[in-house]
Amino acid sequence: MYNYLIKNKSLFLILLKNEIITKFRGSAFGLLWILLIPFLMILLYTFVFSIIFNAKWAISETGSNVEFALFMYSGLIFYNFFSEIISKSTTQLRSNINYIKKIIFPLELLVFVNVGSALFNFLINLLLLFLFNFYVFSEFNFNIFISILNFLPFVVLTIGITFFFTIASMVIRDLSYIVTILLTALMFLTPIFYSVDIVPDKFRMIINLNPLTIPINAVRELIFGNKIFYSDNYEIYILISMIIFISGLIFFIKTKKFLIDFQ
Amino acid sequence: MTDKKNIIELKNISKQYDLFNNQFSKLIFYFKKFFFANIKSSKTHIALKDINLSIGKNEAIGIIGKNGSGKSTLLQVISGIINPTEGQLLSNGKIAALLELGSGFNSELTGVENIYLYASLYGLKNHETKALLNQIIDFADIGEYIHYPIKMYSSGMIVRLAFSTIAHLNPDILIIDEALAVGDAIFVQKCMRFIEEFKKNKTLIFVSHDLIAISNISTKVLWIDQGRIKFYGKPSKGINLYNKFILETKNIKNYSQDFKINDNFNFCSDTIKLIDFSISNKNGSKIIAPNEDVNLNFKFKSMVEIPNFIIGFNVKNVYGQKIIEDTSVNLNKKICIKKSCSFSFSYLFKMPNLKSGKYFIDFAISQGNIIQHDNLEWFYDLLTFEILNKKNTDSIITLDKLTLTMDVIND
Repeated sequence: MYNYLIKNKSLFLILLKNEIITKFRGSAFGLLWILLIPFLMILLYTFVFSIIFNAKWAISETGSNVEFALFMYSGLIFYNFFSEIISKSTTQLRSNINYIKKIIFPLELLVFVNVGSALFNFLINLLLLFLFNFYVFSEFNFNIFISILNFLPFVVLTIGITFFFTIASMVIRDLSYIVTILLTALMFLTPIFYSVDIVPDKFRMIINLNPLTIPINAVRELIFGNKIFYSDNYEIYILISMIIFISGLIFFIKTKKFLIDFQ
Repeated sequence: MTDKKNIIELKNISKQYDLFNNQFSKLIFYFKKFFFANIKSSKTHIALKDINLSIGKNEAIGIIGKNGSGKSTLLQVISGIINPTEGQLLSNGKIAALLELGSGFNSELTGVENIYLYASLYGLKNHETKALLNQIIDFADIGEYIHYPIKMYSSGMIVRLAFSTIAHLNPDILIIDEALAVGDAIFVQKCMRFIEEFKKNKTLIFVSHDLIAISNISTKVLWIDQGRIKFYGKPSKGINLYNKFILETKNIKNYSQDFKINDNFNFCSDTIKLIDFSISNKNGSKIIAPNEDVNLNFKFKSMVEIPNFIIGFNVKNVYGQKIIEDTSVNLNKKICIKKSCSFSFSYLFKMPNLKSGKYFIDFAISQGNIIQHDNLEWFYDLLTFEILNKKNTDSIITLDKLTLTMDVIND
């Protein structure tokens, strides 16, 4: 694995750079959009939830409307990370069919490039969350970056799932439509617009099984609570992530040789 | 011959594609295949069958064959992009393959960025590409465009970029699939010079429908038909066989004829019987100098009546390149042949300034007009003659009445 990444380092970095840069090439603001999009999203959410909906975070007595936007945004960035990768994975091989048919290409790299570019966007989002937090509470909360520790197993898990989806979508064309529906369902099953605490007990189990719940709870604990490191089920989470990652990788390597027949 | 070590060996290579009625049965099949390995599909398409091939160093292999005969599949197998269903592939050396126009390029990126991308696909590190960058840009020679996204390029420019990138990666084996066809004449010349150099100590494998290019470049010709090797060997022979095959499939008739010229090269339909044929200059010699008057004579007996009769011939050099072609259609002569008569046709012409060497004449008759005609008889390499040109040259023709003047304009 290590050797593999070292061998393909140059290629990976070039592909990752291209992936990030070419998305905005030709637009008037160019790379500025990388910052502009999440920033405008924050403005939008703040406007909708704090002015139109006048929503308050049910748990907090004192929480302001802007606090709700912050609360929501802290959940949304994790969901966006996941949904960006999964929806991309369903089209990635088809749009790079030359990499299968015409050149010798380590296809696994496409998965890592996909996750890498989403990770880049996530880090930008995390930075904006940090600034947004400063705007709301008027203090720098560097602990927000500690939540990366909770996030890392989730990245590993996501790569594992992406391995399956990337191959499966090449074989089953319908998957890209199914995934759109599933991702919307996932958005509502993820504690983005609500806190886990307000979920009725009989459904809480489902929410807690959602892999997104742990990193979201962790970062919220850092912002609104007082725990420095959120360690609930941390070890088991790492273990499951690793299992899914490894089985995904094995599945990918074993099945990629059939891909050319599915062009 | 120790230096002629084989760089690529294919042993009993076969490639089959499983065919399915719908996507669902395909899915079930691959699901089973994934868990129980060896199962066979009921319907298959055989792309390659029992290919045995060894390619040595310093060889240039030109691959010919009809569309869909398996040429591209073979290149894909050799470059390691697809795995053969059966058989073994041994290759020894770095392979660079140019299988399709700009495959591997990203159309949003500029030319320079694509060079980096392409080079890294081949395994080059960034600083290694940087060292080659100027050479590649110079060779591609597309000016300012190198800094624009390649979605703005013409297909010729993409080929220039792709070829010059791949050429400078310094592979041991270069594989090209018809890609050069879109380049303009100047660039093609440049590529030819590169290829001439390249094949001196490396291996080249390429597919082309341009038989002249094949005969110029290749040291061996590989003819593939329906996934099988039909011929592998000397270019001139391979091209002749292939040409003959193409003509036969166009005009399927039976092949029996009393008058058999060299082996089984010809196809015929028993419309005429050749009696005699000759080529000579005024002195009756078959060794002809440029500008001499030549008499090319064919005598035959007609077996059937042929209205709208056309008689023609080709002159070819040793590589099978067609140098001269002429038919009676060009002379605007309407000829009608009666049944069971003997005829003698004589062409009189002045021999052009061809370079010294051996030449071959194909003789053909057909029926119809200039736009549409059926070939009736085709005799390959019916006659041979030799040209003795005093000028010693490598070019196909030499100049006549050439003068060179020198004036001193300023001293």
